[in-house]
Amino acid sequence: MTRAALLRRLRDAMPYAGLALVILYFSLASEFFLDLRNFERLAVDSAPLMLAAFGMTLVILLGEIDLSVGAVAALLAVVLAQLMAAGAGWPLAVALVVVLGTGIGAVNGALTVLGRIPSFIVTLGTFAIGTGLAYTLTGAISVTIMDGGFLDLFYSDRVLGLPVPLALAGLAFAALWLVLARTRFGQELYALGANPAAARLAGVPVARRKIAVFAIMGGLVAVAAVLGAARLGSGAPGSAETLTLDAIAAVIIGGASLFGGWASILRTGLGAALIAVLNNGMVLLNVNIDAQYIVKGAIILLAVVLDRLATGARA
Amino acid sequence: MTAAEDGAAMRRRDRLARHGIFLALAAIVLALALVSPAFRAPENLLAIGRQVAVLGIAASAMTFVILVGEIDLSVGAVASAAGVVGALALAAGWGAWAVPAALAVGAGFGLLNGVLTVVVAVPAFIATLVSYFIAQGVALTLTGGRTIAFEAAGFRDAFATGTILGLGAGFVWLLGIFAVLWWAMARTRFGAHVYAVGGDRDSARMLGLAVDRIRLAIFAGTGALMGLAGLILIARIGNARSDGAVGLEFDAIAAVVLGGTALGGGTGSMLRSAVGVALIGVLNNGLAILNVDFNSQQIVKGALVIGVVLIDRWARGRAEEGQGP
Repeated sequence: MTRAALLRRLRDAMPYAGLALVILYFSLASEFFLDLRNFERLAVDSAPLMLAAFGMTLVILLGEIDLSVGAVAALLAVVLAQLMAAGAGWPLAVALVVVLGTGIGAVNGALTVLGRIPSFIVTLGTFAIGTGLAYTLTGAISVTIMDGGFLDLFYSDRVLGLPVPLALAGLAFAALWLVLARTRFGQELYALGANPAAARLAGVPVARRKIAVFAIMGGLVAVAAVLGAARLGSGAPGSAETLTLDAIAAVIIGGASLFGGWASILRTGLGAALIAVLNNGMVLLNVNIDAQYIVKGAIILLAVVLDRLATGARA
Repeated sequence: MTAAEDGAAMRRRDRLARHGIFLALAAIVLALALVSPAFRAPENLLAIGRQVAVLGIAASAMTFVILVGEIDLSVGAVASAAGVVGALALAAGWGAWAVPAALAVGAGFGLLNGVLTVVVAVPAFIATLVSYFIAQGVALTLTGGRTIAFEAAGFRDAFATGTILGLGAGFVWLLGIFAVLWWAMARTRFGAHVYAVGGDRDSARMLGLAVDRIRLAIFAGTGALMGLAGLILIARIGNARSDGAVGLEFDAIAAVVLGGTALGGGTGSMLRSAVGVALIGVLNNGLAILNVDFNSQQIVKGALVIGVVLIDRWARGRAEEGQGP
């Protein structure tokens, strides 16, 4: 086996091996880790990350990026809590927030495609605006959610034996997997990410597809915001600070090409699981929560370097 | 529309693209001066000078980064981390050694950015995002969320609070760095090569330019300058926090882009970035005087950057049918 083939093998095995490794490590290091209840809580708590990471998979598949995820999630959680505090029932509040999130995503997409601005600049802008709005709307104070029915429904209630957050994440996983693997839309996204010029010549409506992907991202972030707010029992302006980092980390650990054209929902799920286990294990071991930035940054670094070594340097 | 009308419209657009920034700066200064006596007070001019030192240095470095066709999202986090290391070194009694320590932290992250982008060939926005996260983690872990205080009057005078010819030391540092970088960009072979690499990397490579070494040097140099920015920041405030320079990357990119240096590389200048820095500096100062809080400022600046890039794209017309990031 050549060195390149070996590196490719190593890269492809990384999400599996990495996940196995962190599970093994935390099982040995903490007596509380290998426990069914801990696993269930870990999975439920990771649902918002899963949703954001699935959306980010589509965005990175197109060779774009969304840096506004955490800010938009915080803003939407705040808006949700304020709508409910103002007397709106939860179905209306959730529906409005999902529409708003999808709209923000569509605006990100439209500015990127129609304004021809790199997506990292557009979403850096919406990151600033979203964070600013979340803090300005609340005066930097979390808004408590009083509706016990809402809190139960989106955190602890079960459908078909599964906690609702997990069921929603599973639903998103299944839907996006189907879309990518089985639909023309999915095929077009792969083509668009691999070679935009060729995709355009082949008749793919480039602008519409890109805007649609950013809109889907926004909608998924909205659902993540709803789940996050239900978990915390409030809409907090600083509640989703690491969501962007975690979502990007999950996709990159999953081996998506940073240049677009290749990504997989399944492997992103593994990457997100790795991040979720890491988050949970670091808390159990009382690792300084601040160190998580270094740990996750180093893991992304490793994944990126492995990927580039395996595909060969391309200037 | 006839060809002549089309040409006239294009010229109007071109003029707007080239001079719009001066109009915007003049309009903002005028508006703020009219509504706020505190803004038009003479000593406020010196205050703006003090406040823009860190931003100015970051924007000067960012001009090189963007001109060569790259981006650096890590500058705020790296400046914060370097400032924290400098403050810890001062608090531990290292004295003047705090300066090389902070510069080394900055240069180290800059080198990491450069190696990842140039050698490993990772897109710059991902590479510098990784540095951003790691630097943020370093700053947070070192401070543990606390504010790091230090006693070092000489250090503070040298980097911020002292005055030279009536100007604040921080502003003098900015002028010095700016002059050197302006000279390097406009008057040296290196500067000409930076324009060439930013304009068309493949052609520059075929011409035999040291494309990779130039990109690496710019990333590393930017990191080192962020070390200096971190020092100026903590010298001005007198302590260090993990989020000391939060949002600096955004202000720096905004200043450069407002100045008219095109994302994607090849065109732009230091002098135009200086106007961009003045605009962001005046805006920050004016909004603060008008009691607009930091978070609302972020909203204004976020909208401003997107708006200006949109106008810039429109003014440049549809010359290239842009695709991908």
